[in-house]
Amino acid sequence: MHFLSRNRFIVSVLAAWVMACLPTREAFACPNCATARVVRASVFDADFWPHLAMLTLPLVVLGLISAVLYRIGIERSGPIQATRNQERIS
Amino acid sequence: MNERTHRGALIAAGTLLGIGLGGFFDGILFHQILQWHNMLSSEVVPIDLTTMKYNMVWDGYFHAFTWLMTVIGLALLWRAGQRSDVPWSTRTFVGSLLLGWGLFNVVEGIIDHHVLAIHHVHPGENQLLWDIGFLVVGALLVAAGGSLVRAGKRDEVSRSGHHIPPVRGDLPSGARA
Repeated sequence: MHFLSRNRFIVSVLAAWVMACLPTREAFACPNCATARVVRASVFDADFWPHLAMLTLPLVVLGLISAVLYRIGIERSGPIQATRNQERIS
Repeated sequence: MNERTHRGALIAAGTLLGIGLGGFFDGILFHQILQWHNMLSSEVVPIDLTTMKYNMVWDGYFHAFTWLMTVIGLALLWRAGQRSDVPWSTRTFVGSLLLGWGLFNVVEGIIDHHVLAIHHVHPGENQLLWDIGFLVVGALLVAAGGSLVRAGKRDEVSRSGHHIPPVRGDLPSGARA
């Protein structure tokens, strides 16, 4: 109740929003109608694995490039440290 | 004493996140908002509800793998932030993001648009020009990202405040004198 009284404006806006949504028509998904069954059969046919391989090929290549960037980003910094140490000594 | 800097941890994280950003940008803008193409729209042309739903499924797989790349990038970024040998450089990170986005355009463009030809950016009369434009944008992003990553070599402090000496061959101007 404390929250409601302190945030009266926000609550009013949210309530108006919800009320505005109420008259809209219902939406229906089609998870198992005839069209969905045809689509599922088409996706999971003999071409599923070739299609999946084609789809993932660029991402596999990009993953390998990222792995190479990870490896080549390891650098030795010793000689610079040594130069700085010598400068401090001299 | 030889110390190692591990800029690669931040570069790989930024690159993977950039790949994710590029993939989601492509999917949201070209597949969904503009509806210029889908992942397999040259294989199964979306002309009715069934073929559109078929393409939506494969777009979903594409987004799932792009999400996976983004998650791996986030995990690498989190780990890089905990290491004391990773220079916490905005230039390196932003450069890597651009590099990843550009690499996505170049690699996905070459493989999907030109080699496999499973879809084109904007199918129709000038589809080759659109495909080449996509590659050119990618190459520009790679160039911009690469130069930022190179500039980030001069950043020497880890997220925890640990000083990391610059890499071999990148002496600050004061140290060269």
